[in-house]
Amino acid sequence: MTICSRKSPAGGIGFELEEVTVAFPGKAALEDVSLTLEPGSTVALIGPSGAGKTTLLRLLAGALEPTGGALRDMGGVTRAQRAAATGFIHQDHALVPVLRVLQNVLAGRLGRYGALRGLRSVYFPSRADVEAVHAALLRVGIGELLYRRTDRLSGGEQQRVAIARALFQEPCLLLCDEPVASLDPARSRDVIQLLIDLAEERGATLVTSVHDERLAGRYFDRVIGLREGRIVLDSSRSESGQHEALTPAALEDLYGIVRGDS
Amino acid sequence: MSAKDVERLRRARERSPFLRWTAAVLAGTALLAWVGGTVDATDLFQSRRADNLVRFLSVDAMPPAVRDAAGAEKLGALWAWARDLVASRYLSAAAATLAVAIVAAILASFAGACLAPLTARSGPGASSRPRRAVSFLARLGCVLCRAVPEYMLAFLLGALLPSAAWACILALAIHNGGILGRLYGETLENADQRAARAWHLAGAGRLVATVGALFPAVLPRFLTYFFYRLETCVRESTVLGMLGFVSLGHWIVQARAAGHYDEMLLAFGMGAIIVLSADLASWIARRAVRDAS
Repeated sequence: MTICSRKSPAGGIGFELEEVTVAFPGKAALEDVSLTLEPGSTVALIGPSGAGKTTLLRLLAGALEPTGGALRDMGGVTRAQRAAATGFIHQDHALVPVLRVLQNVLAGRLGRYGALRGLRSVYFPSRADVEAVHAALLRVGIGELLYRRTDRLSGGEQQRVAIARALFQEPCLLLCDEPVASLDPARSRDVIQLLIDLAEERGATLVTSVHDERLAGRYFDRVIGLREGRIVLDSSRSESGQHEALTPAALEDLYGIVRGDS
Repeated sequence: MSAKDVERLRRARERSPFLRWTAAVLAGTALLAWVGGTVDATDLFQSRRADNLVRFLSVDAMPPAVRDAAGAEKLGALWAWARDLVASRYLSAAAATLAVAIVAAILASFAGACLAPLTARSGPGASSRPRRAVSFLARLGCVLCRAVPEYMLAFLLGALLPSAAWACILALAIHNGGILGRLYGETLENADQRAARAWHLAGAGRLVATVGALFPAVLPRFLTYFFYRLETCVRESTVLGMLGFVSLGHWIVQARAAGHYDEMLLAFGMGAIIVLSADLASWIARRAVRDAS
């Protein structure tokens, strides 16, 4: 049983945002955003570059604080518990290049330990931890890379290491910033399907920013469109399994350009 | 454009009064030092100086056994004299010099690595007010450590500690620890912070994020700085031997006091070989680290 499944019946971590603003000097990245993210839901954030998607993800991860409004998580977990239960897959993977794959994946559980035990868990892992890391790597299809140096891997393999790190962390909230930005369409579908499967297996909440609205509409329960820091589109899957609000007109309004059918 | 226009433009060119004043002050200071009485250029060119030099090279710097030997036997006598001195005194002194330098460099590197996360002005949580205050104090401590020359520190510590060797080790470690604290800290500042931030975001503390995610990435740079300071420590530990512990510096002082300039020159030669060997070993190690990273 994970921290958030003890705290939240749905298993994931949910959020309520009430007129949240995140302002940087000279610019508001998010402005008056009101939103409820249900525990265990899968949510795609779409919108043009600079719309505020990464800021929203960092806000949910606890890396940023709102400069206005209120952000509440459903379940009442502490900040440290939330950090330990939040897996973040960064666009640039955020791996330590000179460390082995094993150590980069082991870093996923650092939030559970104090300083000394944390360092020991990375550099002198127990056999059980090594086996758990290997299982996570097998799950993402790169089990044989366990002891390979991370900077010797291809970009796609590094991305799988980042996913394995989040998987090893056993998160209840999985945040992904453009996880398929540099992948071809077939690999993009594979990775998104993998993330959806991982989230559903654990009952975790999944929030992912993507640029491809077709991918968003096909795989996610909910698609939220952001433009200039504001929500301009919020589509939930209907009973027929379609995102009926994800119309060409809505996308044209979101991106400001004409798009094909979704 | 006429020559007049060129001259007008030349006169109107931008000039820095600061540079001109600096040059004038430097020239004036040099002139004052030269004619002020302390430095007398004519000292260098007196005939007595040339006589001294000839006597030094032909008599003082020549071991008695070599002076007394017949022409063909001089080389053998020189070899026997040098071998006996090296075996009886200078080899163990060279080993002591190296030991002091290595222990001091390792202590300095450890201190520098401990100080680096404090002196670095970037990394997880570095922008908070208490962290900035800690960073300022740590940097100030490093500046103070490196501002005091090793010789003065060793002189002071020699009065406090029973062992002259430990006084020299600590003096070198404190001075070089201050230097490495700054250098390591700046290396951490310039390193890619993304992985450390990701670890911090996942709940790792600042120490774990820095040591676990940043140190492995900057280790090659740390090693190159370590070997650079090891070179310096080898050089300095030779000099610090003049304060008492039995290094090459000690034998240099003893030989000079007894007027045995031949022995002094041999000790100088041994010192030069050790320093050059340390330089070479450091260069090879740094190149290996650079190629491996």
